[in-house]
Amino acid sequence: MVHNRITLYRVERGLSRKDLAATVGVNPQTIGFLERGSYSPSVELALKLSAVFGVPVDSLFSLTPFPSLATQIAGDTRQTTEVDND
Amino acid sequence: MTSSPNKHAPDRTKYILLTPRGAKALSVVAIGGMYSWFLLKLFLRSDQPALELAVGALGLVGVLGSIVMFLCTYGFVANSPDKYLDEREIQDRNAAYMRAYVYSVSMLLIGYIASDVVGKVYSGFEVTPDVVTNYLNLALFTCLIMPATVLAWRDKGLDE
Repeated sequence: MVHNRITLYRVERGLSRKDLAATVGVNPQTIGFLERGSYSPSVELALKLSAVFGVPVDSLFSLTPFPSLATQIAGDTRQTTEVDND
Repeated sequence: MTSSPNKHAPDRTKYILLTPRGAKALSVVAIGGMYSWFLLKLFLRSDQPALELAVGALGLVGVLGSIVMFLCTYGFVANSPDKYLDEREIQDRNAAYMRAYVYSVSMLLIGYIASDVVGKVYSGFEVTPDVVTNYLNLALFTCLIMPATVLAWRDKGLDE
């Protein structure tokens, strides 16, 4: 299964499923299937999606689950605190 | 390979929009109606006009259900060329056709066994031209809507 952060990037950029679908040339339902993890995209579609969001493919798709945002934020905060203390 | 429903693709809103649940129900009505019609007609005697009418109505329900199923959005995806579909739809359609193919071949096989083998084993069983015609009607309509039916049953639905 391929994990992805499409929902995160889409919502952050204020795009609807329909807008994103029109941009990459698929049916809006397909974006829903991708976001839900029910469908793994072709390389071409993955590249198109990462180009739309302006991020590397591996930050949008992964073979392992992405860490939750809360975990990441907690990690970032800890790192910043450590740097400040140094 | 990919993506991209063609800009010149037929307008999908012109097709009958069915929810996955609605399409599943319709497919049961259509296929169930056709099978009921065929099986009941096998045992129908000519001196039962009321029953004959009821069985005919079942067949009509099956045919009308099949036509609606064929004209719904699942029918569109099932019967459109690649250029009108995106990559997921092409993948789903191909998988649906594979299953529909298995069903069609099974229909032919069962028809062959029923007409040839069963006729030899049970001397009372006779395959008349009417039975063959009815079987062909059953095969035609069920095979026609089988890809759309498979698509509907495989659709897990989305919250949009």
